[in-house]
Amino acid sequence: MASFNENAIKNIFCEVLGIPADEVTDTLAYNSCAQWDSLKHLQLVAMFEEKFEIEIDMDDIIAMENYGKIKEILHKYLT
Amino acid sequence: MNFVDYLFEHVPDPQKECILSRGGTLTYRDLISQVDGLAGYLAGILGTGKECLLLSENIPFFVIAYLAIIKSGNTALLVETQIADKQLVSLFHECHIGAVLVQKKYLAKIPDHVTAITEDILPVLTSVKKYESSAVNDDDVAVVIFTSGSTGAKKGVMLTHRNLRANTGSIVEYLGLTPDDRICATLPFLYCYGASLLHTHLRAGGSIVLSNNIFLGGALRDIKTFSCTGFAGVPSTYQILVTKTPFLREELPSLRYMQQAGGQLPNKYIRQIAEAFPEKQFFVMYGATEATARMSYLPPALVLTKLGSVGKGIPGVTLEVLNEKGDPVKPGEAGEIIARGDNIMKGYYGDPEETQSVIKDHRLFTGDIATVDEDGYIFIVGRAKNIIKSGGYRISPNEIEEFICSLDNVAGCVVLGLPDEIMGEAVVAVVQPGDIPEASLREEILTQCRQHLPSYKVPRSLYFVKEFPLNASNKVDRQVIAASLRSGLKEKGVHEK
Repeated sequence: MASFNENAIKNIFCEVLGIPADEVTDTLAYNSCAQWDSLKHLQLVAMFEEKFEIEIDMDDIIAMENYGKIKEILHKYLT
Repeated sequence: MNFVDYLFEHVPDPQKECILSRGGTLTYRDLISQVDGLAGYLAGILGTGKECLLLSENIPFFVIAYLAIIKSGNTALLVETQIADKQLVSLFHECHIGAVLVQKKYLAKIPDHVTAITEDILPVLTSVKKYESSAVNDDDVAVVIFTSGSTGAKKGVMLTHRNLRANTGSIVEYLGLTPDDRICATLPFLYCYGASLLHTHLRAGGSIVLSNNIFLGGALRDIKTFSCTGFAGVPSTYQILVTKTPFLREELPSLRYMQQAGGQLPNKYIRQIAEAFPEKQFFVMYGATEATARMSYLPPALVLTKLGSVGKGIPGVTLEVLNEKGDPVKPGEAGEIIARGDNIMKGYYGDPEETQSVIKDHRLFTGDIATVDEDGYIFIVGRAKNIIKSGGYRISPNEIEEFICSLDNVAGCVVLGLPDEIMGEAVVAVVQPGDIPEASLREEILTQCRQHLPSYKVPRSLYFVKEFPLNASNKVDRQVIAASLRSGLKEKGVHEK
């Protein structure tokens, strides 16, 4: 398991969704972001699991609906 | 008869719940009154016989707008919400679009000079009185579904009121749908499979749960919360549920049956699901947009004894598998699946040549290659067309190849679908680089693809080669490339199905 690193999370997030880092805020949400679809979400989860060597529970995968929640949930796994 | 009148021919109780979601519920009365309101509005501004573009996710607005367009005697043009801006612009050039109905979230995709109707119009229209459907002929086009063709250009499949009625009635019959049925719908209604869920449950007087979740696991919660009796998925739906969620350990007591279409689900998943849910019916089915949706199904009792078969033709559809001479194949021999029935499309939008190449003598030449066993059950073994099926999407390799080849420093490119545990097939690009370091070219290609292609078309992996292998006719040999990639993946310990 890797340690919590916000930069690494943001890099993965930007790489998968193809959006610039300066557009990422905690409130950036699945429901309003056109690039963030369920397919991208699956890729995001796969990348987090691979890079951080963790396995994310289904309820957490469903709860990761904005960038702030993603950080909060990954923090739980990485500390 | 207008297709919408057919759908609402046997409305059970107007107070009955019809469209359900976590955001709220529409009863049959609510739905019909909103459809009437919008249909009357559209007929007022357009008349009939016009084309209306509809771009929306599975929200109540989609259902209302879709039915209102058809009920007003106009034609619904359905495009995916992820459509590339360039393709949308070309649709505006090629089609005669009289009105645009779009979910607010996607308003930015619509060209500035076009006036669009969004979900905001609905509250204003609810007080409008009953709208009598516009008279239509059975062979008038009710809907055009745009899908990827093998050349990469979007092909519009024109479906008539007759097509939709025939296929809907047939599916209701073989699935045994009743007013008690409630489907958990995760598939987009703007493709034929999703649309068939909507059509069949309205016709049967059942109900539809709009299950829009960030992750498919949410559908399991929706099945329980809303006591759904049915669930529908493409191969990747079931592959994701089996590999990434507790699906196989769930009880899901309300669920009577599951249905699967949209490509071949590997046998091991069919077996796992059938064995995990012995009390529930699992329908393996086969279809195409060109056939409205459905062409065959395997009776659930045979799911394990005829494992991997797509069954036989559904009621009203005749399927034949013919060899190159045009004769029915013998057991074990492969041939092309050819379909006949009232569900076969009118043709491709604006493309009579392509229409003639697939519909001959009222028969649809599917391009799917199959064998038939001694009991007459059909097993699909391949596709004649160069199409990748990934995550339920039909993807043209040519389109992605052309895009990548248009980039600087790319000398050549071949795009393939390789077996994938989750997506059915994964999109893989093999690139012949120009004079530039591979690492920077890799980054550039992926960045450009992410910006300009819908997410499902972005290659999962990129490989570089100095030269492409050629076949006897000096064409790039895709099979050799695919085989060497597959063996390369095996060496790295990645196991395919």
